Amino acid sequence: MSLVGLVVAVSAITVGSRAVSVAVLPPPRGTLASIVDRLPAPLFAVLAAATLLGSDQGSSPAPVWLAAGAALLTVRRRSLLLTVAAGLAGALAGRALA
Amino acid sequence: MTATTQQTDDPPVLAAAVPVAAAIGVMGVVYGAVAEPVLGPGLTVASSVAAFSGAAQFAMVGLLASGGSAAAVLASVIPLALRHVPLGAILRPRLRSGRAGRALVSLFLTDETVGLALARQPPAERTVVLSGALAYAAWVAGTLAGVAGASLGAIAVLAEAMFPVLFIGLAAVTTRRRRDAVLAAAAGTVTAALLLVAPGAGVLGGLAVAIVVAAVGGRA
Repeated sequence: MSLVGLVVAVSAITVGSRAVSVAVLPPPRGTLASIVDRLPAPLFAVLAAATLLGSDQGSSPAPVWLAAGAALLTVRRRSLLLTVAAGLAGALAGRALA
Repeated sequence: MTATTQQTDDPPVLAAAVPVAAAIGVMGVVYGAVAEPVLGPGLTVASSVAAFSGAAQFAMVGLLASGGSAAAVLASVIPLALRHVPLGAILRPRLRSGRAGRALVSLFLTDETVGLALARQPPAERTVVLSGALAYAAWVAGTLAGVAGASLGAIAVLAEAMFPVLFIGLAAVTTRRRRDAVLAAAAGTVTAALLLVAPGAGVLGGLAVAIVVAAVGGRA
């Protein structure tokens, strides 16, 4: 397969999976709906862990861990902007200390 | 999912989307710089225009750079694409559009845009499209800058920090009950342990953990 063909295939898989999941599949019902209802918080916690630990590039640098720690301190407020601000402040502090 | 999610704040879409797009733009610069020697400048930019998926594009370029075959690339991209199914299932009850409108929204379906949509009251269309369009523009512009040889310096680590911070914030915002917090903590801990033991499990392994935790959590 040529590089152009590969990029087209990767794009088709990505765009197609998005379209199928939102425009084709029916909304979840019954037991599945209740599982999906509980899914967002665990899903984003998983993504946080995955982006911190990475899949193959090893652990994140110290400023990233400091950013995550600072962000965790704000979670009780349940404010996305506050958490982002705290995280960036943590990253800047970590960068200054490094 | 019910549409009764209680949020403690409902910030303007752009106020929440701009820092996310900025981080995505910086990662676009990294992608452009990394992909250009592998794909060439034109195809690198085209891949960002057509796919708009950092995970899939980095996987593709990483495998090609290390001598991987096209089959290996597709085998790694398909599991990454599967995560759109639960994301779509979460988002679907918050959409009011018909099929054509949902198809348009799907162009901007990413972890980040779904999270931003969940942080606001439904309907989700406006949040996903606005934040997604901003992120898309940043991703393509970043790729162009990376191809052109832009240097990031200290900004790269800030962009790298942005994603776990964002997901921590989104986990907090989508926590409505004490049970959600317990499930999030359990899923994050199990995923961390899984990735330490089996780094190759990646996002798909974490996704499986989240689904199992959400399923088991209903019986607790």
